[in-house]
Amino acid sequence: MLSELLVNVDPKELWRTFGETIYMVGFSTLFTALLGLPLGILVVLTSPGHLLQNRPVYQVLSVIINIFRSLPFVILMIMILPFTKFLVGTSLGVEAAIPPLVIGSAPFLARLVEVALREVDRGVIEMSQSMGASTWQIITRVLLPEARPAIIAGITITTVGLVGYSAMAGILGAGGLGDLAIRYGYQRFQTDVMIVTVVIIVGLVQVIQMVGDRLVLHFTRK
Amino acid sequence: MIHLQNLQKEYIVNKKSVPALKQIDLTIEKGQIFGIIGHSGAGKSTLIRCINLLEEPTQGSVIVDGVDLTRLSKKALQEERRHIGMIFQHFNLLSSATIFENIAFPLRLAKKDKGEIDRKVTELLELVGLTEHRNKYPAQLSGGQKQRVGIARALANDPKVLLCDEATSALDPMTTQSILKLLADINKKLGLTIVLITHEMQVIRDICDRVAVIDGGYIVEDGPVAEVFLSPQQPITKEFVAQVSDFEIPAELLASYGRMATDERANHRVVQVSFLGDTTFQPLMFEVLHSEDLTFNILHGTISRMKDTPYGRLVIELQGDKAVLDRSVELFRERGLDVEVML
Repeated sequence: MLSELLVNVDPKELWRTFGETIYMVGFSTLFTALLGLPLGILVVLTSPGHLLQNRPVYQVLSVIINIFRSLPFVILMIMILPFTKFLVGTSLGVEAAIPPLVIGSAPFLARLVEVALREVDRGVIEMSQSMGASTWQIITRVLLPEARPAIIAGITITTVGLVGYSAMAGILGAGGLGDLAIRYGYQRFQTDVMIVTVVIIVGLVQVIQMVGDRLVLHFTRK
Repeated sequence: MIHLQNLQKEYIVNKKSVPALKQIDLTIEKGQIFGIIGHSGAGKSTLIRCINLLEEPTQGSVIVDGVDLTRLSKKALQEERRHIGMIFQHFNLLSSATIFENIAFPLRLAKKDKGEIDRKVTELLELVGLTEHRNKYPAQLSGGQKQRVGIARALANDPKVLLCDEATSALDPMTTQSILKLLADINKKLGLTIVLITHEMQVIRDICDRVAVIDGGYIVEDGPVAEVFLSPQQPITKEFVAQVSDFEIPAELLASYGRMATDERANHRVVQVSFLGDTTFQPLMFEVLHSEDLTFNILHGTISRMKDTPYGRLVIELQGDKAVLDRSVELFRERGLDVEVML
């Protein structure tokens, strides 16, 4: 019954592309966090009135973040092709999708981290200073633990965004579920493939959001 | 213990300099509880935050236990701050950490070893009466309990000085009393120097040894609490004192005095008599009033305690011959009472 409806769907192919999507999303989330977290911290710390207040650095960072956030992802992907090729040795496939995904979403995460850290009570930072904490200690022992639920929520939002971007990366032959949907569902008019990939992507997003929400709840002490 | 010399602080607001503290010279002795009272905006918060350099003074020096903090490097200042505890109006606890971890925080900053942290925090939990709340989070505690955590945390590094920034202003009167009592106990038990700022004269009266009144960035008056309390010099000080002894001459009395003829009026007098220390418990009033031919009427009275010093204040209306009234006032004064003729 089901297999009659889904004549064009090849479970093996589906499984492989699903794996590619997980790989792309997983690694780009990891690298996005590694880049976006410090970037967000730096933006907050160098902002006026904060611990490492530094106007030029703050403004340069802010402009860079804004530029990368305002570029449409597809254009960003094409623009940085030479950089991608330099970094991973190819401009095709799953690996080649990761640099643009990271560069596209790290600035976004940085902004979310910025918001999360700004929510930390100034009084608590002041308390740490009064107890003789160094800037590094304030970051690691106060800012990050206090903002943890909000940062996890930010990473969750970013990861969900990355699922969408990774599907878009399919256009440039990055592989993954998006690639499958475009090549079969769109170009060969195999509607059943399109529907199945969409259902899987929606399910993936649901799972990511649920895990994120659980973690946020787990770390919230208020 | 603390010397503030020629301390000045200016803020730059919209490129204009706004003075917050002007010419502050203050000495706080070891083991004292020193209160600084002022209205909001008077500069008291800036002043206390200059003592651990959370606010950097524009000019002047801050000497704590012989070290001029304004001359230290960033690193040396961090080290020195460990010996200056601070508690806050809004407690400033780490919401993501347990009570244990909150108290352990300054010890972890100082990289103390695990066994020592455990021993010290357990001891402090007991001192502030929160042993059973050890593994809770701040959100599960009441305001008074949170401030107790703040106090325990501030004491973790065995500081020489404890700064209290409006520590009881967010608490209800009963909790305020218990926190003040805890501070007084700690002061006595550990010989800790405490500096506190407040806008409530009651806090000053209950636990301070000395008080400074700050207004418009200047210290306008300072001295032992009893002295400032019983004979305030500046209008603003009188205003603060009135917070706790809110006596006003009743309107009926004023009206009836207004109706009196001049010679009748001369036989009436309203005086405020203040006692301090041992005189509070001696029948001095009786002795004078008994020996003279006059009648009296008590309009208002307080007998209370300033920290450990008992004091009393009575407002009495005296009626009698003018000469007798003058003599009685003299007799009060001879016996060491402070007498102010109010009407």
